[in-house]
Amino acid sequence: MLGVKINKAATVFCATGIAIVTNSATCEIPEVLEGASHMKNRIQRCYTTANRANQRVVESRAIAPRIQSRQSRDVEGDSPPVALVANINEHVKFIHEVSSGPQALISNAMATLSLRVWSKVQIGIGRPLPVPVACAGPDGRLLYTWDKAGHHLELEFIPDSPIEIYYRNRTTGESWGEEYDSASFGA
Amino acid sequence: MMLCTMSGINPGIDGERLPVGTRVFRIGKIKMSALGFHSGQASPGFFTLSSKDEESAGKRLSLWVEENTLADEAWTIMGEIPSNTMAVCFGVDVHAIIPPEDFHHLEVQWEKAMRELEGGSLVVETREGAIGHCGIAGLIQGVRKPNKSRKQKDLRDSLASISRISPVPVPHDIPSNELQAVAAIIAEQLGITDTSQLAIMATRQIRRRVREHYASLTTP
Repeated sequence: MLGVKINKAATVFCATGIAIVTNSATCEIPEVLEGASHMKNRIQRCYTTANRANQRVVESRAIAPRIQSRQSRDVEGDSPPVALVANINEHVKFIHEVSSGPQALISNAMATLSLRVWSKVQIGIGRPLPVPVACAGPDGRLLYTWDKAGHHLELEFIPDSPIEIYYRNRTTGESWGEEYDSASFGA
Repeated sequence: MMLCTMSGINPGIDGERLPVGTRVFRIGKIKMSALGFHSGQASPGFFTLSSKDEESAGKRLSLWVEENTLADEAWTIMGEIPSNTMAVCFGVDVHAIIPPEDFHHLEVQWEKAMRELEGGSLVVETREGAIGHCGIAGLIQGVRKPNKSRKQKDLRDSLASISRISPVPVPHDIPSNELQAVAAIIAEQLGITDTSQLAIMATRQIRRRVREHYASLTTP
């Protein structure tokens, strides 16, 4: 049941172009739930990619300043992973910030759940999903949004409520929504 | 010299619709990630009613009229909460948003700002800028079922899509002497001598400069 639901969500992510996939078969969902540890590994891999890209920039600067400008342009081709890492880093930091300390806006459990669900959808799609815009509060809510062209996608986490996925085509006004049982994600 | 807020629009009675063309802003009771802030596009999260908003008589989401209230005044009235640093702006012509089937149009209505005293009783807020308080009605309609929830999200997203995040965080904390200097320049341009009513225009001028500065940093 969960697999079917996630599959639908993954299909929406794919169909809207929020994430581009080349093979629809990648929408299959592994039965094993992977949570924060998977996320950590993914971030670690992205860091490695970014470090390599940065290292190339440093080396090129040291060796030949004239070539450096061209290589820097080449490295711009690698900028998506670098930008992705920066965005993932910022996102995880943000989630940590809003779930820590006496002024926390969301609970630790919700922070973990949100990262877990994000990770789960990425597994479903089969490749990294763009980092969402995250919005915390009021009443302990957390909203993830993705926008691409006219496509708008939301994942909303509400305390003691199911997770809500919502899609709207801002051009046509068509929308779709569904709820998930957060307990299925180990909440 | 004390600069006062310019009372651009006469407040109506509670529930009365604001004039077409009025610009309003909302200070978020939320925190948004930097990625969203840099996009300049408001998140629908700005338009999520808190449980307190939902329980209120008018079920309105709190807004402020740009002509009547400075962002810093609104921030002060809202309790000077350090994390409430983001503001979004939009025009009140929200009735142009086509509501989902069986739903009413959104409407920006006047609403007296209230202040909660110790003990829980409410009194009318009288601090500077309070006259600009209003609220958006119609975001909560129907009962909370999946289909109704989706329609509520339709409205929330429509609102977000016409709203922009102010690039200048609140509180602006613009030094009063700088505000006065800009007000004096505006007064000279307008050929008037009284600068006491020019605080909002001066603030806008300064904010515009800040926006231009940020734009110049990001433009190649």
